[in-house]
Amino acid sequence: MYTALKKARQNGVVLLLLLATVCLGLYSDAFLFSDKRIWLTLLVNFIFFVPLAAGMVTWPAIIYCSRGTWTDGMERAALRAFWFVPVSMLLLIFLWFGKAYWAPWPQMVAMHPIWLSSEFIFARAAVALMVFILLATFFVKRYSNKLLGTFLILSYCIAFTIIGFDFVMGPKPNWYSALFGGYFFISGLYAAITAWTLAYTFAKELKTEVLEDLTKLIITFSLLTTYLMYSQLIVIWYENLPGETPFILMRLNLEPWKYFSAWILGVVYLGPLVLFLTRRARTSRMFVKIVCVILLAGLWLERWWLVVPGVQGGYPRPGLLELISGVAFASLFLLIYNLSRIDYGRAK
Amino acid sequence: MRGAVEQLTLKKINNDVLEPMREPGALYWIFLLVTAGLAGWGALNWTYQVRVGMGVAGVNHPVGWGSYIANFVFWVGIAHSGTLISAILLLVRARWRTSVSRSAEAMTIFAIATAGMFPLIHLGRLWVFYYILPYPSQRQLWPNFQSPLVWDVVAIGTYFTVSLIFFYVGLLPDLAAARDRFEERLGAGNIRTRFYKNLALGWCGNSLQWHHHGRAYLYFATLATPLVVSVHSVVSWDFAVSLLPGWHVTLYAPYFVAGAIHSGLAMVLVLLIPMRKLLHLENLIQPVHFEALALTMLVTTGIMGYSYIAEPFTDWYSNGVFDKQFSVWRAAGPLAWIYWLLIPLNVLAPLSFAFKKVRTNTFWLFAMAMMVITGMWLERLMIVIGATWHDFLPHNWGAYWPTIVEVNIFLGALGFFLFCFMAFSRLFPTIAIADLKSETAGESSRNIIHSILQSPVKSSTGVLAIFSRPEELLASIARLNESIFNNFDYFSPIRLAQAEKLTGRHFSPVRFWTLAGVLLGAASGFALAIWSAKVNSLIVGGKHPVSIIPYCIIAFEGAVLVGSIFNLIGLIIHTRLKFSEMPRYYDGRFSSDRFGLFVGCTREQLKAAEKFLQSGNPEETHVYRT
Repeated sequence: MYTALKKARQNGVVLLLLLATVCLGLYSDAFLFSDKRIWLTLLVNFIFFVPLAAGMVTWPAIIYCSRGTWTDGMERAALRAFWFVPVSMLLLIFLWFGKAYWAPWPQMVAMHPIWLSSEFIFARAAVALMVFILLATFFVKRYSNKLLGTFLILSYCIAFTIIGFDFVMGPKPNWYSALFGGYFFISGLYAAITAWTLAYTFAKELKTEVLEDLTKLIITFSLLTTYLMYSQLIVIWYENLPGETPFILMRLNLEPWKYFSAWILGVVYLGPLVLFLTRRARTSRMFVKIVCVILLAGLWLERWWLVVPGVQGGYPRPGLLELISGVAFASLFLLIYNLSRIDYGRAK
Repeated sequence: MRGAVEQLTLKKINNDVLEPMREPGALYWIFLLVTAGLAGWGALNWTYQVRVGMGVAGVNHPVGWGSYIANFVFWVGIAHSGTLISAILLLVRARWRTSVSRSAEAMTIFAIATAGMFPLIHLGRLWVFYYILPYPSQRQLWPNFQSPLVWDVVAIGTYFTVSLIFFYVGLLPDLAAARDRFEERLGAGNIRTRFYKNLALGWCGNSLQWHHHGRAYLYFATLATPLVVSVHSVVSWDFAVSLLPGWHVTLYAPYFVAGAIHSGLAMVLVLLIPMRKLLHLENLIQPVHFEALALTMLVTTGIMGYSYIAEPFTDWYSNGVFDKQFSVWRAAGPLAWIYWLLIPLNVLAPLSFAFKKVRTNTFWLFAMAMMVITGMWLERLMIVIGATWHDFLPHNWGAYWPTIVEVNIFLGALGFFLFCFMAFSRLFPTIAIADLKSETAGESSRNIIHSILQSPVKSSTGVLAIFSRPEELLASIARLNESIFNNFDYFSPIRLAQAEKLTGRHFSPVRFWTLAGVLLGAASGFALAIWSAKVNSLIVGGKHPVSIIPYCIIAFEGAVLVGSIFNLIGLIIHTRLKFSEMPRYYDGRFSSDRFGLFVGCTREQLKAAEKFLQSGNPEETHVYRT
């Protein structure tokens, strides 16, 4: 039985390796065209997968620091995402090379010459991520250490506030919102808890109580994300200031963005509340699995929707290129996740 | 943390909580008189303001919102911790909440009542207050559902109503305990006995009542949790949806909510630390509970610190001349002393809770909590008065400081709040007795898995067995399943989840009531706002008369309000509260520390039933004949 499972896992790894190689190969071919759209998809994948992986490492810290005792040793399923976080540094380097195609800062230096200089932007993102990686390296080995956990949570919030401001809000520097950093890291935690739940649905011995707790956390974080987005929306909508309104005007009133907005509202923001309303839905392994996959796809689209409409020349609808890039990074993430040497499911 | 609580017996918990409700000492009366005096002094000043006019307050052009609005924001914030402890911590199963939840809930209600007075005080002509009530256009009034002031009325009204219902529903089993205790001590005709009897609505702690009560309470918590977030968000939008620098900040909603919980938790510490001593509740409220509160405050401290950095950063990042000059003015102008005090008071002081020595020392806890309350009040004042004090045009700049009348009214409000809390501590159980008993006896009642279908007892002929331990009751219920006696009911001072399983109670229709209420409330909220807007179809501020984005607030508050009311209706109907008399075989000890099992049977079966129940090792058995 064990050998069969091992073989199946190996087969899975081979499949993932193939998929990742093919998709990454196709995706990297696209870079030959040096089009803005291609660099933007790289940015979208960076701001989706990095907070997701880092968030999965942070979640056990949140649970330990809040004295949660319900995880039943399944935090290892989350910690396995750790090995993807260092890949973020690689992505950051790629983004640096393409900044002339996608980043507006070289033209915006007059606004804040030092703060918005490309060197400083990439340097602070790199430092923030390295601090997180350093703390996470220790935390993965001693994940019940509350002090370490507290610092890890803080470093997550700081790192992804900085990245949120610079890499999501930054591509349109004339638009700003004090809440954006908070929105970005909270929605990252939402993606992370969804991914963790999805990972848990593959556990051999699944406890329905734990699965229900995880789905309730998905509901909570989807509502929290919705609340933060609405808190920005109502303030900007109300005052109708020329510098602020374009953000919601494009997404709520113009085609085709408004259709994506409706989809994100229905699926990402309010979907979990409706889909996981009954206990039966929250505890059904297959149903939770399907909903998590839909939510993760929706959250990827939400990242695309945050960045692309604001950038001049952004391609107005996701196509084959976006699909290939998403699948490439998803398979790379899953490959690293599967090859992770932290054993899944072993009791603490 | 739980170990110390588990050493308590059910009887001791009952006595320790209910005893302070009897004869108060001299110190209590002195405190009560002082707080009543303060409240009276505030009322006199308010009367003076009404008689002379708003000129006695410091508000004038350009600062139209002064300390009254700051007080309103502050007191609404204080109210937040009650719901946090009652609802949010209930949902996340933080068991330490039990010892402090009741006081926090009561504090919520008194804080909202105090907050609610300030818009009326600020109004000046308070007799026209009904102008702000949101009802469809009548008598030439036009409630604008796009106005944040109308959102305020809707949100605060909903919060007060839901908090009151939540408080009352949680209190029901404890009111029954008070009723039975006063009946035993003072007799059935005594005024206090009758007072608690009326309030307890015939609660007898039987299987039906505990089952539906448990579900309804959970749904209240589920509805109250987003409500608490929405209320201070709505208050923050009073400022944030304006144009003024210093007010127009997207971060305000979560920042206000975190600040509200921050100040509310500090207030819980400030009230509970002396109350524990005064009412001799050392056994029930322990240092570990204060420690947990302090640790929770560390989270809100983090959010406050984050907000204090994010707001000026965005002002600087925006490169807007008005935002930048306002930030500089706030940090270096006449309000700079408040601005710079906020960091030590609201961030550094509570950050000291990271050290175990500080958070386990009640003196330091009290001192730090006082600092946070002071800091949060100052912060509210700075936010409210700062933006209008120093807006876009230099010739429009002005100044504002509270007058002595405003200070006196603030002191009066503080007195009113403390007076209400003192009165509450004698009139109602200050600790959730039933919850605390469940903590004590809970673990021992979770081991039997068995299920039978059971209908409520209709006959009053039968045998009653009284047990001292929940395990004996559960064992007897399990054996009843295999006997010929399948018509039975039990009574318990705590909720026994296992007993509900044994009696086949898995499903509560209260959930449908709540869901129906939520859907109806949301639809009604939208309908009310749209209908009102269509009466005159006025375009205000360039907004379409029917705008869904702001109407979401009305719909959300409607969903929570109607959902909670429907939940209460469902609870009353399904538990048959008020509609039925107490069963004649009910014993007053069932609300204290004893467990009852009544088996209904025919007169011929009485002997066999008695024999059967006696084999379960009860303390007493009683036979009832029609």
